[in-house]
Amino acid sequence: MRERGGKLFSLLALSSAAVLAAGGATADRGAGGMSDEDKIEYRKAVYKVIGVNFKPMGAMVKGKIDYDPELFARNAQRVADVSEMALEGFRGGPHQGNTESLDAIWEEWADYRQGTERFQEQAQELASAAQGGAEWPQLKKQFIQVADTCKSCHDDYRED
Amino acid sequence: MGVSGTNAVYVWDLWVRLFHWGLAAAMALAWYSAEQGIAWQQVHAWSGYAVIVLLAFRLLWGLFGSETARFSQFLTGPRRVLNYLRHWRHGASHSIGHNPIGGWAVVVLLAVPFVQAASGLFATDEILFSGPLNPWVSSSTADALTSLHVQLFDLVLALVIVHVAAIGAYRLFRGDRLVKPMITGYKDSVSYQPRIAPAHRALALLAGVIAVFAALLAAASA
Ligand code: HEC
Repeated sequence: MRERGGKLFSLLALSSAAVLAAGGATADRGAGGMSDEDKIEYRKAVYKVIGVNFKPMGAMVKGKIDYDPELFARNAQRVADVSEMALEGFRGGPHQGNTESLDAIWEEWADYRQGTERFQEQAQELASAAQGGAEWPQLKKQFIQVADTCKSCHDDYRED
Repeated sequence: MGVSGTNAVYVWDLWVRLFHWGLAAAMALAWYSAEQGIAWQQVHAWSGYAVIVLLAFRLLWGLFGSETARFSQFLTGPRRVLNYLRHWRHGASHSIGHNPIGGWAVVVLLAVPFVQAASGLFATDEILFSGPLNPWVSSSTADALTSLHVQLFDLVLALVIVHVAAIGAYRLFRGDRLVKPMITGYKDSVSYQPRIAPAHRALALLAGVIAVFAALLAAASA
């Protein structure tokens, strides 16, 4: 009994290790098979998409164009969705190529991740608020919160 | 104009002094607001405009202003600068306005903040805010000017430190008090009263500078 229990245990341990390894492999494949240039291009493209969708919201917040609730909510959702996508482009760096990312990202990876998570949370909150029909002053405030997460990350981790 | 010492002379006119402390305040505010995040961006922009207007006014005052404000009065050749430096410790001579090395320091202290502020007009954070003249340049030029704007700050800070340290060195090693004259306008032990330009000329130049700068911003946003 004891022996079987032990066997069972090691079998379990082995299989879970295998699952974990497979999981790790899948996670790795998320950015696996990509060259340094690919990764750089990928993350820049992600931020480009974020930037382009962020801009019209910014114009509304600054009063340069009229507040359009539908467009605002749509773009807020896009930014929130795409905010989940950038991190893969940073795994396993620093990468050689045409990049403005600072090596500090990989030296302080935990902090960088946290910055990304903060950004995701704030962006998600903006999207929810916009869809939930929050008041415009409230939305503007939340938009500034999101923009501050962009800025603080750029200040620390992006070449000036 | 009251006289503040036995043989005190009015060397710094009101405009030089207002410019000096105004520039210090505007630059301090620009620095502070830049550190405060997105919500302070408008304050940062306006403090930068103030820096530009002040510097443009000072440039004109250096051509048309009071005697001690004029570049032609305080910019001298390298020989006089070297000679001044050689006898710096024991030199008893008090300059009427800027001394030979101080005059060149003024040029640097005007030029670097000007480049700093002017580059900000073209800069962008690629998030939310762009300088008013940003649409006039390509995005690669804007990138380069943004980098300049951010990186030049370290030089500005270093210059401010050297500037303040030099004032301290004059006090410590030569017994010269330079701060008080920049507040009151009066300096002791100066041989003669320099010419002071009329106030209406300063006001006209300042109004002109503001009008030109406002027109520039209006043209950019049109
Ligand atoms: C956690 C860090 C982080 C956050 C948060 C972040 N960024 Fe970035 N961003 C970067 C880094 C790093 C780069 C440089 C990528 C490279 O060149 O490798 C970048 C690049 C960019 C670029 C240039 C893309 C290109 O074309 O090269 C834009 C635009 C941009 N970000 C906009 C934003 C906006 C808008 C937000 C917020 C809504 C944001 N970023 C939030 C880190 C961040």
